Amino acid sequence: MVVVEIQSLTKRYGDICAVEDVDLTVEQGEVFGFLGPNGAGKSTTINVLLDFVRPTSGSVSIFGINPQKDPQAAREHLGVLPEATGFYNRDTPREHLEFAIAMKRADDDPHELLERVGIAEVSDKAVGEFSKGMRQRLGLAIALVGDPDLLLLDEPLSGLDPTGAQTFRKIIREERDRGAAVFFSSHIMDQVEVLCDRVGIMNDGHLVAVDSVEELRTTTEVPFKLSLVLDSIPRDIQETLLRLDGVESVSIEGDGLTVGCSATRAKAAVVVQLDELGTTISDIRTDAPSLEQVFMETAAEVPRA
Amino acid sequence: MFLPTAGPTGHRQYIEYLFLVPYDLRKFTLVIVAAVGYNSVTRERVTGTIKFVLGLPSTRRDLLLGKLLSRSMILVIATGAMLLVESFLAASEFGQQYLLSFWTMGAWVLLYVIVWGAVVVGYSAIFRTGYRTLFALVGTYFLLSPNHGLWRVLVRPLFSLVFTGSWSTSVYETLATAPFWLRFVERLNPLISFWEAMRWSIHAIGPGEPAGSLVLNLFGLSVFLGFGTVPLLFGYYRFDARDLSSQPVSKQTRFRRYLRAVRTSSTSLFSRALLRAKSRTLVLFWRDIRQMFQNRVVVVGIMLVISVVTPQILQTIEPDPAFGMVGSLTILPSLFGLPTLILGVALGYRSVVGERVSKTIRIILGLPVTRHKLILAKVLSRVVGALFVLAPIFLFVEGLVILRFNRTFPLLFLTWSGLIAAFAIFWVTIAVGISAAVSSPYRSIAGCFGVFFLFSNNLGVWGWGVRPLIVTLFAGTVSGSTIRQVQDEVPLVRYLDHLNPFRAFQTVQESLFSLVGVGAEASSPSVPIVLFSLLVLLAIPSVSLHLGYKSFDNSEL
Repeated sequence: MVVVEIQSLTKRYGDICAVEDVDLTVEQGEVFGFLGPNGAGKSTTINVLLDFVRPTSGSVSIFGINPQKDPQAAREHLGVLPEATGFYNRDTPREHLEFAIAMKRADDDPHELLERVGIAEVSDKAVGEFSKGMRQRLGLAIALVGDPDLLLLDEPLSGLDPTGAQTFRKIIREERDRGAAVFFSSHIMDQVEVLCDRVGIMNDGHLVAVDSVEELRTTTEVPFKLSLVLDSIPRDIQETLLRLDGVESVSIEGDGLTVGCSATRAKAAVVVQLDELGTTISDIRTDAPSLEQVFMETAAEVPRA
Repeated sequence: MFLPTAGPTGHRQYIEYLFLVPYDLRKFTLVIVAAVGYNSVTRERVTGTIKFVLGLPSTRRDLLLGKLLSRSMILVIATGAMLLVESFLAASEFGQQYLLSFWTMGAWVLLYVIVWGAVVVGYSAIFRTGYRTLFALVGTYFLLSPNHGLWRVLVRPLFSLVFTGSWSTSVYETLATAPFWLRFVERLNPLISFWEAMRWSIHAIGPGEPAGSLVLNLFGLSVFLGFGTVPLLFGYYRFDARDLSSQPVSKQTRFRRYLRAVRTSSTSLFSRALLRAKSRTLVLFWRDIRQMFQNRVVVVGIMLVISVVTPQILQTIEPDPAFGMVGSLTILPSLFGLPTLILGVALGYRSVVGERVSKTIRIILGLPVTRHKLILAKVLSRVVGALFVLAPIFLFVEGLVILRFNRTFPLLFLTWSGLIAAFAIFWVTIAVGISAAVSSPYRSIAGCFGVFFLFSNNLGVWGWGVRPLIVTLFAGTVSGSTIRQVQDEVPLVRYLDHLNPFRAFQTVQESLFSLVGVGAEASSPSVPIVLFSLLVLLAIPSVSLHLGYKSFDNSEL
């Protein structure tokens, strides 16, 4: 079931195009990571989903509901952590949660929610005295109220310490296991890599890639190293391989051969060439590109306006 | 720039004119002082630029002195420009032989703004926000103002009781002719000290003869200078001791925590029950009621209202020599004119825009609620808040009426209290509407006071611009020489003038008092104009609220 559907979404601020012609869907039970550098259009897209910002053209829907037309019905399904949200500084986390629980007509226990995000011991302290990380945790607790069908989190990892990030990952997995969809934006790649079923990469207002992390790794033209162990090193192997399209470097160390490739297609070409030369490949290993490398490469493909 | 003293001075005596200039400037310059200084230090702290400034080779003392010098320079230039214009007018009217006395007065006025500048910079260093600085400044003026403030109502009678055994103080032509204790005590008020010392020095130069003791005036001058120095020094010590990177745990904070603990334990059951309300609008309503009364601006606004109306009520609820007991009750609605404006603006101006600025709107609108319901809850809570504040005051007045008149006047009570409540609701609704339409609290305040200055009978654009224009455009040739006469003769002019809500309110007030039998029969307005006035009084806040909602609904957060 599609929980988020974005069709041809464009948002302009005067001459500046924050988001241009974005199409995207997120499925039930999926953890979707929304990546991109600062100013890429991630928050604008999320703000349109929340009806904080109105689209210039295109449409968005949450569980088939247009949030611009019926924001209340759309928000019934949502747990939200907006970016740079404010809190009532004189109120306690418990009071914030009581308010959210009443508004969502839920029956959650505030203490349990605070325990879940790891700030139960400060449940009666004024939020004005909280650090950014504690505020993020409180925001996450508010988002969890009422077991929402979709968690919409804008930069949830921002300001979290390693323990906080671990708690966050645990909660996201629990929510996915419960059947909720999670849509979150981030620029902290290693966290996204281990959490997301799929990622979308935004750059300069464009959605430049959407796929699973594994697929992105294999389909993106990211430089990588191919390490091979051969039973014998053929003569002139370096010159032969360097003539192949996509091969950038070749080095020999004992029986091992390390080939630097600029594109994924070069991997097959190297193996075929070695087969043709009659040498036996006893081991082959690829140093897969990190999501950050994929991101950098993908982002670089779209020139900035 | 507009000063009542500017322009042709007619047949006024020079010395009378000379004292009118500082009389006009003392309030006008305070507005400039507030505008220039209220955010001088707090803004650096709120925006975090102070960390940048103090990261450079500079100290907090350098920063504070720099602020004082720069703000004083602006104040001196602005006030000096006004004085230059005035001196030109004075020279052309009275001749150049008086320029020395004029600029003696001018030097005092410049000292006045510098001292107030030091006060406001000091306050800005003491307080955490610009609002608190502003309120402290207004509160200081309200405390010390010789004619309108707490000094006259509270401090002077208190000293009188100590020295004479009576609360009431005799009135003297000048302070110089008053008993010694009063001359001394009055000089503890820096504003009175300033005025007396200025008067003495101008007379010493001439024209006139200086009255009063030089020693007392020197004492007064030191009080006045101390008035600027003390807040500045205190501000410096507070600012110097303050941790800029995190919230310090001060005694105030500890006290607040204690209060919070007490409040949490006593009201959590109550608040939880309220938050379980069926309607989400009701949840927002109760939430907002609590938020509203936690807001310092609202609390200060309420205190201001109470401190403004209480002395006036105590003086007003006396049998009127001309109109008897009911006469004093019929002037109550006009007595509450300014307080209801203050109350309405204090309760309403941050209602929506405050949530936007603090970004808590993102929490609220991330929950299942529409912007429409939010505005509805806001206006309901603020109106109920206003009534909640006014109700005890009304009961206090009625108690005083029973105590002093031995009668209850139930119908009259309902009439005047209803009128005041309606006027408060009018202002609250206007303020919430403006708050929803704008993107900063400052604009919201400016919008509210803009409405006031548009329609105000005495100060407003309506009185000197719109009303004469209406008469010129629609009256044609009529025999009446005054605007009132023209209105009586030309109904269209009368109706158009009633588009002013203050005028409409006045008409409704007259008709209601006439209905309960306390107004003058002859001045009772006709039914159609009363109905039209009611329509205007309903339409203007409704339009404000509707436009505010539309603007808010279309705005991007």
